[in-house]
Amino acid sequence: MTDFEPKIVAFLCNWCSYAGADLAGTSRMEYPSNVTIIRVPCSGRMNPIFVLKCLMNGSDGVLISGCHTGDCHYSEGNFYARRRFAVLKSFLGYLGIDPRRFQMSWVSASEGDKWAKLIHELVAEIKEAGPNKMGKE
Amino acid sequence: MLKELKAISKELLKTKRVDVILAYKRASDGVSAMPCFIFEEKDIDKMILDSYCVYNLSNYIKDFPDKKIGIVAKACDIKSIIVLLQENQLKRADVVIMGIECHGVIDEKRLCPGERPVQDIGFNEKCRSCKSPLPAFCDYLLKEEEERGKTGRASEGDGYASIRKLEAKSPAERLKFWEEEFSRCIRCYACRQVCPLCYCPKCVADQTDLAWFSRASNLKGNMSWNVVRAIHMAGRCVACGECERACPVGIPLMELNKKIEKDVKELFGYEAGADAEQKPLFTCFDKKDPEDFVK
Amino acid sequence: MKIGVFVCHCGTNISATVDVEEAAAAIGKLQNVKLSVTYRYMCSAPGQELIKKAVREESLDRIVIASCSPALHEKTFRKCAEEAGINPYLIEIANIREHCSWVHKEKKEATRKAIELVKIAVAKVARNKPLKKTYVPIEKKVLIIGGGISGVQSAIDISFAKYPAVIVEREPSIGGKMAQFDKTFPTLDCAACILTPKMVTVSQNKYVTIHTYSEIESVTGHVGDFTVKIRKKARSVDLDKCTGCGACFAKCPVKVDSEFDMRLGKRKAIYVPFPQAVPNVPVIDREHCLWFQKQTCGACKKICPFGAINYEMPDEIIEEKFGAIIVATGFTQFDHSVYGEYGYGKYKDVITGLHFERMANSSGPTGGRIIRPSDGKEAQDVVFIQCVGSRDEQKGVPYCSRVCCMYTAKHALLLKEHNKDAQAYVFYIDIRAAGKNYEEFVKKVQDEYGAIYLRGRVSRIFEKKGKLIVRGADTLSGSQIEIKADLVVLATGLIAQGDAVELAQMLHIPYDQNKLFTEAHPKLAPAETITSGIFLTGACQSPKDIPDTVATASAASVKALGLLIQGELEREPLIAKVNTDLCSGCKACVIACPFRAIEMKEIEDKKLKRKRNAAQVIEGVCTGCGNCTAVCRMAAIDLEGFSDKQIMGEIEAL
Repeated sequence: MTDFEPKIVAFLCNWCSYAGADLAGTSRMEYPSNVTIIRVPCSGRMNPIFVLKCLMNGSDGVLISGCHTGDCHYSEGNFYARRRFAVLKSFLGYLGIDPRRFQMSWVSASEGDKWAKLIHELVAEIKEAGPNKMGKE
Repeated sequence: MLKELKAISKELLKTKRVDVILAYKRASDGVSAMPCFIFEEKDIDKMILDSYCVYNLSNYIKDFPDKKIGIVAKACDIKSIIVLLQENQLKRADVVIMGIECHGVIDEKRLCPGERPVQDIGFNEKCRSCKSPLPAFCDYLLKEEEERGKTGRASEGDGYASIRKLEAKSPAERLKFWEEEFSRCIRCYACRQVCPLCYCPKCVADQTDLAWFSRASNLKGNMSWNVVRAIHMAGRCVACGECERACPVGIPLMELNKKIEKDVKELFGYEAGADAEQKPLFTCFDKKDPEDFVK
Repeated sequence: MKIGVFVCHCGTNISATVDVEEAAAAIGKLQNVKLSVTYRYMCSAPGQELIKKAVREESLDRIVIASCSPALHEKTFRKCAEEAGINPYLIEIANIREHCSWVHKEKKEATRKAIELVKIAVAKVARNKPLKKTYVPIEKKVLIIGGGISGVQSAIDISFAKYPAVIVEREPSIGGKMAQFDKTFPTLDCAACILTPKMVTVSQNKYVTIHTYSEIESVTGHVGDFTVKIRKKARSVDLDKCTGCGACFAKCPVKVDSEFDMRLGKRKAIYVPFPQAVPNVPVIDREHCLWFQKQTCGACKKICPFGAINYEMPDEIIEEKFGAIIVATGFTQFDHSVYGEYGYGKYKDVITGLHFERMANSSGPTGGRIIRPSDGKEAQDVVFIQCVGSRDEQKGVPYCSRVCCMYTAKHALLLKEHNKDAQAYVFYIDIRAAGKNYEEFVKKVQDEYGAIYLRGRVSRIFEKKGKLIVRGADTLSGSQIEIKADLVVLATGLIAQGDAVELAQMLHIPYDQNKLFTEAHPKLAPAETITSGIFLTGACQSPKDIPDTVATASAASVKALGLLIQGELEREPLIAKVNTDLCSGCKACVIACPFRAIEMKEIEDKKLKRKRNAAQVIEGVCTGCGNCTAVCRMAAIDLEGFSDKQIMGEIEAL
């Protein structure tokens, strides 16, 4: 599928990752346009049902990105998210869903370059995983 | 054991220590057990206690809010009571746990006419990896009169053998397996109704103000329902096996719930229903929780 | 619903790679979008006028701005919406610059993505709820825990603004560690001379209440409304009746090692820790007082002309409300007994920096003479060892205590001033003299006061013929050194107080692996903690010198005053809210909330006709992180501004 362009949704925490993505923009770093960003206050806000919904609705990939542990603006939100999504990640793989389709990252407000690099990697990985047939009844 | 149980139950009702006793009585087929709620001493004689007593009676605790409850419970049932205590669904003083020694209950799917010993019918799958015939947490401990020798129940290690088998398959094989299983789901929600820990005033599956996922029994909706329930059970499911038992289309729900049980044990060292003072899994964290999956 | 969409060109920042007209046209076709236009600079005055005009003419009730990151102009556009007559929370911003036009060069793709981003914003804003800022009343009183220089300075600053401050200090007098110092670097001001005026100022200030010999018993509540129980320990001396005449301690027959003088001198069982103590009222040490131990003596009571002695005085617990709390609990010295090689406990002549301060002090236990504690002789050759306990990951603390290089240099100077024939040897690893005039000071000590600086560590100290033999390395000359010393002074590090963790847990503020209290942000919010209303100053946060301590005290005061001056704390309404119909009372949210902003309340369930407990958010404390919302299986608690409906709406619009 050489012309397959994945549709990836990324949930970014307002204080770190969203700002990091802003920095990538301010620094004019170029990266693929496959990722659509949805802002959340904290990675701790993320409910596993949101990730599931994206995948069931046909998203080829889902990313959650938050602050590095210890740096959460709300002190601990990302620790809770880490635990919750460790369970979801393993479970999705167990169901046979390609584990590349759900990923998590820590990107700080100063890591614009990490954000850009991450998107390049993510898009390449999801391209390899192929289109998500789920939700296409 | 039964004589002692009846005596204690009578006393509990008489002294008004409890308002109701959750127990087992004989079902209409003459062999299997069914739940019964006893409010008066005269009905205590209905009680039975044998290896047909499969049901997890703690499911009915939610039906008696603000009442004092006496409950006949096996070690596996008691674990769900502990989770209910952790989650403030009842006060410790409002429940009298009559823990019974249990060496295995039947696999209901292999039920046949006429009373038989459990070894002949076949053990419930959950019993095969049971480590605790004697409940540890209870108000009364009812032991068998004679010392049991060989239980006749082979212990199958940690109970995760079938999970490992599935884990060893390829993702494509697993996806095919689960799609086949979930396509049979008719969204009867029996799994939810029989689970002691499904006590949400309005289940997310039934919420319409915000429709979380489709209620249609197609693959997308069925997968959503089963996955969401399994995630909501993470760190709470005590593997009492009732959901799988109740499923009319035979979806191997324990293969879902036990996978998460295995994961939370390996990832976080967490066991559901271990201790009433323990915090629920997702309300706490360890700074050293694994993060190798995070980029 | 009439949504107005405004797509910004941002000069050419957006329009160079995103076809803004095409985007506006595509969005205009969406349901509920009444108007979809572009403009060169939406954030400018004419841009905002455009919005206001459109709201008026098209009766718009919600707005989407497709522009730069909300980090830049969300507040601007909220204000604009409010001025246009729309609730400021009925707007959403689609970031089509930082997240789109600036990072994608291909026009078709950039435009497609911009349209998707705006589509999502439209789906979200359709589900926004009008919100009102919440106001939390602030109790106009500040609690200052700790009466050292940082606590005293905070009290001065708070009272200067004519707001009441209460200092709770556990020692019998305020003043803290600084009261024990002799002279302070680099100016060589006498510590007591610069400290005591401040101590007197606060004690006489009508806005400041000082509770000495008191401790914090419990703290409940939240910013603006802290309820604090203070235990005033029994002094056994009536504060109102005592005039500080000193007759009682002159008469007291019991002598006890003085903690203030580092046990180099004595005090009485009834004592005032130092002459300039505030309050100048003694305290009875009940563990050594003959009356309390053996029911004999009673001399102080007999001799007191004012009847101020009261053996029956109990501890008193008082309860007060505060709007803000400043933590100024300071530090304690590192216990160098872990370094057996330095002879702790074995050699009387191995002392710490604080011991040296007391000796150098003219009103100290040795009358200002630097002597050997073992035989009282004047110390000639004094070895100073730096970094004792600091910068030691194995046995001590990993950090640098910041002040020891300076105070050691000061000690070397004072030694020479007190004994002109004395010689100071300083074993150091690095010299950290970063403050104002600090480097010059150290240089002066080396050049003018003849202190010999040896770069190396001391491996052993042992006694030989009445002298202390100090064996160390001099890495710059590459040799082993052996010095016959009269006195060894260890520059012990500054560490957290022994009960720091207990206090932190009482206040619900975080602390690090060294038990130092954690600031809200190490660079951008050093005077605050993550807990609203609780501020930090001084060494309890990290070791620091007096100038930095005073600066942070004023910083914390300003933060606290900022709350008090408002009288009411304005909080963003993007907080959590409970739908009690759906709440099962499982308390997962209560436990998972990082800020303890959720409590249980009994409600009357009309449907089930019974009373039950349901969660309730404490509006003033909730910071809007949404962890509760994610943890709730029943979806009974939701987060305004990032609600389940809003996020699901965004997902559906993808």
